[in-house]
Amino acid sequence: MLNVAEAQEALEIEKIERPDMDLIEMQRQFAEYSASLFREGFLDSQFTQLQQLQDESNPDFVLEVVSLFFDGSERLLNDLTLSLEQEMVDFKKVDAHVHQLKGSSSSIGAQRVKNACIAFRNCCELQIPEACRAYLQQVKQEYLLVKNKLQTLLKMEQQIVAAGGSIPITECPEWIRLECCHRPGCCYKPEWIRLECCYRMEWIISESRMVARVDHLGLMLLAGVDQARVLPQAGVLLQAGVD
Amino acid sequence: MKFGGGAAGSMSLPGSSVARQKDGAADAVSDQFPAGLRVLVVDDDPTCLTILDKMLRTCRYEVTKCNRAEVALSLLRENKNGYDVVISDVHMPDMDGFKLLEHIGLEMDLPVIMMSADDSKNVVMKGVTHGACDYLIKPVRIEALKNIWQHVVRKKKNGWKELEQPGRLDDGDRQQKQEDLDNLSPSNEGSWKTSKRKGEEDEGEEKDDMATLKKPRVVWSAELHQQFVVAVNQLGIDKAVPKKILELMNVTGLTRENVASHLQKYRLYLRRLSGVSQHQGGLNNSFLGPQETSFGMMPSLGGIDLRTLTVAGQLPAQTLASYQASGLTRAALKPSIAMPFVDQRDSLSIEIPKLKFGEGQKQQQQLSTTNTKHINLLQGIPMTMEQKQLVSFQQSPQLSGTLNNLHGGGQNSSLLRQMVQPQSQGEMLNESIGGQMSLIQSSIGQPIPRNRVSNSDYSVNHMADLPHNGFPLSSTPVITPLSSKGFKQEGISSDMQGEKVFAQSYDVFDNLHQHKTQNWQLQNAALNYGAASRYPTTSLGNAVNVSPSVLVHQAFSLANHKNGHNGDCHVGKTISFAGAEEQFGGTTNIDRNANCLLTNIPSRVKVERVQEMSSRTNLFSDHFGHDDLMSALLKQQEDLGQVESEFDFDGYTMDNIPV
Repeated sequence: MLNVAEAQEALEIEKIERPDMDLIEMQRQFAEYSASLFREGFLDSQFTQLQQLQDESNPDFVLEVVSLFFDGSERLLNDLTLSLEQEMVDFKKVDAHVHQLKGSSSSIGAQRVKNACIAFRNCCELQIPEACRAYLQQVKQEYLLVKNKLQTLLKMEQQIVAAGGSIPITECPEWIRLECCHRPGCCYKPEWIRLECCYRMEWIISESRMVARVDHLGLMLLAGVDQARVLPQAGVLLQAGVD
Repeated sequence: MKFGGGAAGSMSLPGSSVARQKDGAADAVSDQFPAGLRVLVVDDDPTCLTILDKMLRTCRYEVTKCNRAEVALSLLRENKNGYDVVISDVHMPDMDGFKLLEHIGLEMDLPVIMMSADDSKNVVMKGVTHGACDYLIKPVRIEALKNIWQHVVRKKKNGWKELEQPGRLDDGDRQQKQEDLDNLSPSNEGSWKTSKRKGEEDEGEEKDDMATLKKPRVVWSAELHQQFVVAVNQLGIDKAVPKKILELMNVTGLTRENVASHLQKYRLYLRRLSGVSQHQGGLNNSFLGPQETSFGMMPSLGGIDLRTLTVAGQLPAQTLASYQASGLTRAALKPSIAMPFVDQRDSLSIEIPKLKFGEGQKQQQQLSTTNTKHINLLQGIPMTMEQKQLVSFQQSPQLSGTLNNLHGGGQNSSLLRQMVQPQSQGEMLNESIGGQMSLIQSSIGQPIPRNRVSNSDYSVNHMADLPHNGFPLSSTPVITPLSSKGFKQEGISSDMQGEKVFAQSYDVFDNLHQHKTQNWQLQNAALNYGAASRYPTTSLGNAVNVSPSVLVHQAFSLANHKNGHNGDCHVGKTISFAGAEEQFGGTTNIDRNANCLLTNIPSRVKVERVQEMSSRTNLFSDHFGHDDLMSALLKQQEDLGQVESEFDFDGYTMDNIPV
């Protein structure tokens, strides 16, 4: 993950040596960073939509919306924390808040936050305060992560704009939803995917750039290639079938 | 001039204000359609509102944004023809989106598009029944918004058709419709004009004079609607015909057609209301099904019907009864245990005014309950029955009635009954829910042993990994599905140990969320919990000393839905975001501590279950080691018994509980 300080440093150095490479480099880094965010599931295609909405008439649109999202989410998260701390938890209210958070996070493309909200809502139905608190924690985690990422991204964007360049828009990879194992070691659909060993709820990059990610429903999402690949390091054997 | 004096004629034209004043420009505007479509968007979430606003502007619509339903309504009322379409969120704090939808439908007759992150069938269905012309699922994409103009066109087209009734034709309206159609669909201009002309020819004379002043579309304001309702009530819903209503209302400028269409809508609205209440009744039969019709709506059974129907201020019993009759016919469609009774009651209610007392009484005796008391006793009675009682025809005051039959005809004063009903229903529901919950929980008990055994293998190997894994707060977050929908969880976990051990002690979650394994905080809970009590001298450090009491403490506090006992137990505190770090900072073994913290969850859950099922055995997994888990769990039973005896689960402080 590229952090802003490193990026800036690199840029500074480059500036001295090759002044005109600045912008291109920044754009490249930006594109790379965007791609990684998509790959890791922090952002989804909805975010791309927002980027596409930004134009000359509204050059700070993404920044504006993201700021609104931060404000709103933080308010909601605080409300949620308070609600869950009550003696008699008002689950309807909690559910309403989570629903709204889900709505705003999905509108902005903060996919992981959205997924965490979905999981949270499922828990709310059980009406167990402690469990809900744990799930809230997850949501907060995800929120902080995506906030950090977005802030970095926007900073990079600002730098590009300041340097007079245009912001490259990265397309969100198309995720192919494939069936996957319910538990490690089993073969779910042998002709499709064989997953062995444990696999994480993260993304796994194969040597050949196929990226697999497991979402909150436990479905493995593959983006990019759909050919057979082997990932010995991660202990996962993926043989995606050609559909 | 194509359009009558600017101020006098309210515009229903999509187009910029500039165009309104210029003849030629009007054509230009219509050519650009759907650009310039006037959209009112209502959403309480500022993020979504901004995004929608931008998207709609990108579609070249004229957008007005609004974050409160009340404001939206007032905007619409002030500017009667100022908008072409409304987009509204479903869940809003000040007013339910569906309510807003109804208001708009009744008062302004604009197309309304509902929007929500909720895509469950029930909610979408609600949108349909309430008259929304479309339902968008968030996140809304710009492509979805590009086509909303179709609803405007469709509505106008249908509205125009509605006016095409034999009899008195309103010049102004026709002119308006023609003009609207002209402006709305330049691309279909040909076909529109043709159909329009056809219609005109069919109708006859007064079509060509485009120069006449365009009559503004009738807006049903609250007062007007009130008058309407009064008139309808006076006539009786069955006898309410547009002509008579019109006469009674005595409003100048109102045409029979206006009244007719409004009456139609009103009827739909009433039907929907009683349909909703019936639907609610049906839902109660399956408790754990989707409960989006909250039980909080129960009072509406009595309340809403009465309230809405008493808009006019007077509510003759006959009218109420007749309304209920219409609702009842809907009820008849719902399958329920008392189907035969439904039919009986149907016939009963239809003959409302005519039913003889004697006859009714007999029936009533058969079917009645005198007191709500009796209703409460019947837990298993489907709610529909209750509702039938509510809506069923109420006759004379009394029936002593046999209590065998719950299916009361509700002879008691209807109002009283209605008020009491919701409550009893609520009670029944709660009881039933409780019952169901315990059922579920008892069934959960089963798989535990199985899991325990299988899990134990893993726990040894992975025990060592525990510290690394993880403290969820510091590691990459993992989304854990916690679906109550099914026990099949397609979970993935890299931390198997957590899963297994966790599963053992965490019964509820185990079954309900079978694979809720992933690096989830809860996983570790059981582990440490076990360690805490069984191995007080392990490296758990601070956590250990604290945990047993903490955990038990927490457990019981959970049982009482209290989080107030956190004073002496920092670990057991609610997992609060800000505080988490400092809580853990104080302990030597952070991971253990974390686990300890998390054990609250399972223990709490378990305790809850204990409350409901006192036979609960293994509450606490005081086990860290895999081998001991079994015995530990068994031991817990003893412990639990011990603990149990010491507490009444209602409000206690757990400071000195020996564990």
